[in-house]
Amino acid sequence: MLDIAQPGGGYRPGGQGTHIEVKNATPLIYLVKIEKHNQTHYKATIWGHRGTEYVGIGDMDGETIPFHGIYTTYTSRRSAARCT
Amino acid sequence: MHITIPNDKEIGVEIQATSNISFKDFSDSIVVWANDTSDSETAVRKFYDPPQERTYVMGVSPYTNTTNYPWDVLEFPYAKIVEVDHTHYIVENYVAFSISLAGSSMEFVSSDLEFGFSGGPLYAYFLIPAEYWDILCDVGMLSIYVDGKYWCHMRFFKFWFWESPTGIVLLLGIAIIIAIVVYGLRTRRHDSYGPTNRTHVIPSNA
Repeated sequence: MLDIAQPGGGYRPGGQGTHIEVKNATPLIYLVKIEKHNQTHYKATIWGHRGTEYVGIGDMDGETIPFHGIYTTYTSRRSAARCT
Repeated sequence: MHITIPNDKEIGVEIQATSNISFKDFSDSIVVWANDTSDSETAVRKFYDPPQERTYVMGVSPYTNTTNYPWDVLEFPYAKIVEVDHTHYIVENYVAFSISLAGSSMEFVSSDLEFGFSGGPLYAYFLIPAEYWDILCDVGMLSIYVDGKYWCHMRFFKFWFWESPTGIVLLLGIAIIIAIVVYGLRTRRHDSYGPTNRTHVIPSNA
């Protein structure tokens, strides 16, 4: 996950079944989810990228995957930002 | 985004992002989280203009709290204790630590485990469910290096109830009470037989 944090925020623990939170950290982008697909490949689902990609285990070149999207920011003076 | 998976235990993700609005216009830092199916997670927070900070590794309340070890530790059958540079923390449901790194890199190294953060100054956090305590204890002592130089150590261990001063006092008290009760029972039985019951009976034809 990727988060663009506002000034003044800090760590705070969440509730039970907790996860790390950073105060005033928004917008939050669930950037990439990587799951084991089979013995030779992992499956990657990327924010702002259609479909899924497969990355080979042991492939040192890896995969370059573009992502692109728009998220809403928190301030009144800025309504949206585009991340590419 | 560039993903490499050199082997089954290592995944590399490189992110390059641009925004049509300057990040500094609405933000002072960016945070990258990584979590896995074990419910463990870690985060790294990088500031665009890093604040002047000292380096520390600190437990995060309410999951990992400082404790006056060994005096205030009394959990049965054992308490989960983390020691970082002679400061002791007692772990509840999660091992949660906050890191401030004034240098460029921090590494946690033991014979069985190695992890770290680089690209500092930065803040980092990690969170591990306490159900993996046995695994953490097996790791043994972690040496922490900052910019390649030894900085301090971290260790996970079980502090058994009967090792604590209060536990020892309680167990001694219980042992003394049991001894008194047993002694009392034996004395009572001794008295109930009376002195005549212990005299030898001499056969009349002897």
